[in-house]
Amino acid sequence: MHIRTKLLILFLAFIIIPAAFISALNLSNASSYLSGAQLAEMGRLTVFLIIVTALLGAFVAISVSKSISDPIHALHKGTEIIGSGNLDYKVGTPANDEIGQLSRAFDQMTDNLKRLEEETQMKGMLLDAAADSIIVHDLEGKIIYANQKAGELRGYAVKELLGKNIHNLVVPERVRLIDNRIKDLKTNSEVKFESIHMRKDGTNFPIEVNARLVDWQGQKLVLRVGRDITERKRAEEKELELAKTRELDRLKSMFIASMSHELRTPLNSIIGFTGILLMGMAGELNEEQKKQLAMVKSSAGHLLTLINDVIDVSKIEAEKIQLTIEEFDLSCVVKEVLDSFAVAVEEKALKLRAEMPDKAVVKSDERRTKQIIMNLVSNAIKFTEKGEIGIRVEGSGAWVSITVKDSGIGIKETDMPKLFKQFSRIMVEGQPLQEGTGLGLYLSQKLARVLGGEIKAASEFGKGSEFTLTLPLEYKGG
Amino acid sequence: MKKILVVEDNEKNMYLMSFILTKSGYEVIKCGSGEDAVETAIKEKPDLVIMDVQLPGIDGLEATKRIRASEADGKLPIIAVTSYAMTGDKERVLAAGCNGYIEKPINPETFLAEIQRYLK
Repeated sequence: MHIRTKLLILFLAFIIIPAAFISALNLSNASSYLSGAQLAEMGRLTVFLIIVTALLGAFVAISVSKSISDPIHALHKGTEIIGSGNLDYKVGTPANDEIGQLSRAFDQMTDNLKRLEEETQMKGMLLDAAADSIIVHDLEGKIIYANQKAGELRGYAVKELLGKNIHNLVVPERVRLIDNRIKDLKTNSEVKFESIHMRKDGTNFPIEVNARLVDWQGQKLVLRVGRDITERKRAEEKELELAKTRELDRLKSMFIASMSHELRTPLNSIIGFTGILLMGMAGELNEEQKKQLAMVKSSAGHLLTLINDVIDVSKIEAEKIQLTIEEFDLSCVVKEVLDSFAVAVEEKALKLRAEMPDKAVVKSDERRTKQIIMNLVSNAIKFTEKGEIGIRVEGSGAWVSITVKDSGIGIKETDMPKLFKQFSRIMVEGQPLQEGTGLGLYLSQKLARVLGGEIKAASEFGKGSEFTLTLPLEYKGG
Repeated sequence: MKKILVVEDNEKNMYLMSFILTKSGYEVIKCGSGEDAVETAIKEKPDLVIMDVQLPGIDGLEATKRIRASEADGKLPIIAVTSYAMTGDKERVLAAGCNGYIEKPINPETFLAEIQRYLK
């Protein structure tokens, strides 16, 4: 009900009462025409009417005035509660009048206020949860806002940062740089730079800053988002060091490769002419001359193997090894290897046993495969004084394996890990150190891997060793 | 007497090869550079060419290509001599037109047999 209506009722209430009085008075005027008993009757009725009318008027007046003042009172109380910060309070007057509308509008307003506050809280929470340091400062550098991370990163409480100058957070030698970068903001919408910041305890840390200019109520402010890049810097340094090491390794390998080439050139003459002399092409030799020349030839051959191994190792390490992949018969290669060792096997009176299919076609690098098998067979002969050397070629699915087994001195369990290491020569007590480069197995294993395969060793000390080279039937990359 | 053209810039290697070949009854023509080799091969028409791959100026592979280009029938055997540091280049050598290759250091015991194989 509108207040206007209420007031109308109030007004009417005050009209009815005087009207009742007037009608009562009229009744008393009528007394002259009526009998005494009638008059008495009418007088009682009049009094009754007056009382009823008065009560009614009073009731109406009280209830109407209450329906006006109560909502106003509730509204007043509500504003006080909400004003004290409780935005959840609802005035909630059901009244339909202007005051009811006012209180509902009021509730709507507090609802909006609450939403706004929640939004602000959410934004604050997000800013504080951000992984980056966020600082807002004016053009002089005075900090107006800092998020949680900005404090954490520098060992300050957020409150301590507010009002501080950004210059005090930067190492002194960088202040000019950041000032210049901030000046750049006049021409760029955003600047990105790296700087070094100082913690409260005086320690430094590298930071990557992304700054942009923002307008806030007509004032230009700088929003800086900073990220601690300690980890990244460390990783970069490590990467740089690693790259340096790699480059050094590469240079070393290149140096070795070219040196080895130079070392080989004179060996070509030594080996060639020793061969000519030994063949008697330049005239007959006596026995002593033959024996001594044979020693020259043998030493030159050993030196050549050493140089060749060094070249191969450096090529593999410099990732410069070139393969020639083609189909070839592995059985044929094994036969060639065994043929080349026929003299050595005979000299040591060893038995040679070979098990292989008539033809075993593989697609790989023939020369490198032969080189590995040569090394395995040569080792077997070198470390076996009596008994036999067995060689077996067998296929299994997409793989082929070549096993070289000997009945030689074997390898101690403790020496097994050293087997494929560079320049590691295994010494066996009571045994002369065999002539070798310490590169053979290391290189063979490397080559096997380049060919996409592997060498595995098994041995029983004193009984013999078994080396198995496994290669893919078809080369598909190392 | 069969004529063999030996192309090699290293004096000692040249002596080594030509010594073995002359001792074995071949006529040896010596060349120290690729350019010279091409010219001599065309003029002298040898029965076989032994070509060092690493040469000053045009290398052995380029010289081989030029000799092949000058030939009518392409039947002249050309044997490349490669250094160990150059291996893995078998395809390159064959692609240039060589019939085969011998690796340094030259082993006098097998060298002749190799040459004779290509002369047949």
